[in-house]
Amino acid sequence: MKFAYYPGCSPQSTTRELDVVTRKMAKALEIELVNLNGPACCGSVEMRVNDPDLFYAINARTLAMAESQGLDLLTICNTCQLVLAQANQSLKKDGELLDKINQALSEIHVKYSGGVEVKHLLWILLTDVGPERIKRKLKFPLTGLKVAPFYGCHILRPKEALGFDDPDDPKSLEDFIRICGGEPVDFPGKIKCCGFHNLPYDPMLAVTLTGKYLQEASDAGANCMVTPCPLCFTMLDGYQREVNQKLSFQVKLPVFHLPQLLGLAMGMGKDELMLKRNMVSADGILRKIGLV
Amino acid sequence: MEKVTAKVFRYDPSTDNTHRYETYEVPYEKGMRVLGVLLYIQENIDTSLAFRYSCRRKRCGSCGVHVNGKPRLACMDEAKEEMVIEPLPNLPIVRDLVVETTEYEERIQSISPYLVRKNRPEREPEKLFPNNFTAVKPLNQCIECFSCMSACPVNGLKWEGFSGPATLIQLARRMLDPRDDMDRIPDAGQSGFEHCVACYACVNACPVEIGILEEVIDKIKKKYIEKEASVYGKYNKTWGDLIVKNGVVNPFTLMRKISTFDKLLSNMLIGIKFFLKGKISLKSKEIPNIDEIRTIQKVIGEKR
Repeated sequence: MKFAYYPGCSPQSTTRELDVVTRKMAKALEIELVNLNGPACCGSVEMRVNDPDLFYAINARTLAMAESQGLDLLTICNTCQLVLAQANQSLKKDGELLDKINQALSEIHVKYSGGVEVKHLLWILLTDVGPERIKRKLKFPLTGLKVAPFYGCHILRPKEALGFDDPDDPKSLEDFIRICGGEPVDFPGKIKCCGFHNLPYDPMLAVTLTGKYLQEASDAGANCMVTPCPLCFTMLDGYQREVNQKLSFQVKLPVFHLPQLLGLAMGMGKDELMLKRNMVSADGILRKIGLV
Repeated sequence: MEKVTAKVFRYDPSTDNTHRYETYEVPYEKGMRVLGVLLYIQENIDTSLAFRYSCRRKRCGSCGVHVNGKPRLACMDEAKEEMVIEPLPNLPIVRDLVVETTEYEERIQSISPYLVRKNRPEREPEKLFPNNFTAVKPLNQCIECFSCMSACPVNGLKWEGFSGPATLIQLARRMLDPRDDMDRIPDAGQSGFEHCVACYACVNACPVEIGILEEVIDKIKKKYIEKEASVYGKYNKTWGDLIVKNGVVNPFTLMRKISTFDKLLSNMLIGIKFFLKGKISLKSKEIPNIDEIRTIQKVIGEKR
């Protein structure tokens, strides 16, 4: 099983552990991740506002890199997933747009023909790899661990561009937690927005939204949380102390990236999973499940 | 399915101290909608149940309710075997499922939601060209059911200064209409568009499928930042500039470029914590073939 790998900006800086652990987990599951030669930032939800042509062109360039290898693109960030999927969908649907963008790309001798699918790691684990193959690799199923799933927005909505889960009633992250041996904890905020995209200029809004969902998950009895998005992770883990200070909460909820949770169940160690880089210590959880 | 079990929110502020839920069993009929269930309850079980409806065909927008926690139009949503039916949240309750929407209507009124023209058209009837209205046409479908307002997490927080997606739709309808002569930029500034978190909850909730993010909010943002300096505009521009400069966006560089000195100072503590965890790189990396991005930008710029 082979995919073109698109790490995105956050896993190359703030959440570097996600990139490193994804690669380790992929190796353990015999998924070959092919590095692309300098894919650019997807432009997030910003670039399309101001410069739609450049937005399509940089994403078509990335898609063309995967296409030239005959591979689908694997993403590990919700926003990268949505933005690349939306750009891909528009380029495939609108021949005129594709021609215009390919004209610009011809200057760098690149052409995109619309032959790539963009898939999030979570979906690949559940479909391409499959539960049975993952379960065979588990050495330490997370029995008794109550895990709150935090989907984030851009893996669910808009359905037309993503379409894996029912955006109102998703199941994939709960399925993933069960495969790891854990017990999913339901809470209303699991499909809501952490506010990350407003963090640089509207931090109190992001902190307030994140706080609401952390509190809900904690009240629902979760021992920890897992998210498929490094941007949500940055809010939920990195800003948890800010949430407690600014909103007078007392939440202490370790948050894991998708491959970190799976890595625990596969018996990978704390150092191997780079858990020291998580802001909220997971030591209590590791002790609870007997991993320390 | 032979019957529908509907747990319905009941509350009369003039007599009740708090709300309650009452459960009704309704015989199911093929194709039954939530409105059909409510009408059956009112006609056959409890005549005091209050709810709004009018057209029964997704035109009037008056029957918006929450069904199993999600905003839905009662006239269009299929009845399910088990349902919890509640009023749209974040609004005062008149009775049961009827909410007071005056606050939202006033927000819409505040942006002059009508065409403002300096002069009469040269000839009447005026000659209109469909190509001039492609951006506006989908927005005209809005039925002001307020499902988007109900789904929006920022509106749910009653965030100060944010007028909400339904207001922004009405604003964009006029901003994008080539006949409109009013300077809409001040209203855009007042609308709080920059508080939108781009979560697509409004898009997901919209029963008439308006692309509220790309077709409304992105377009207001673009028009606004072309005319007015703002923190959001600086953020948006810096994001694009960094991609062209480095190919990737370093969050530290982004924050440094858009923040004022006091903002940087207020973020100092969390910045240090991130730095100590190795989460901040002071130096921006550059993708190996950055010239390709610059070439694409140049070519696109020349063709514009």
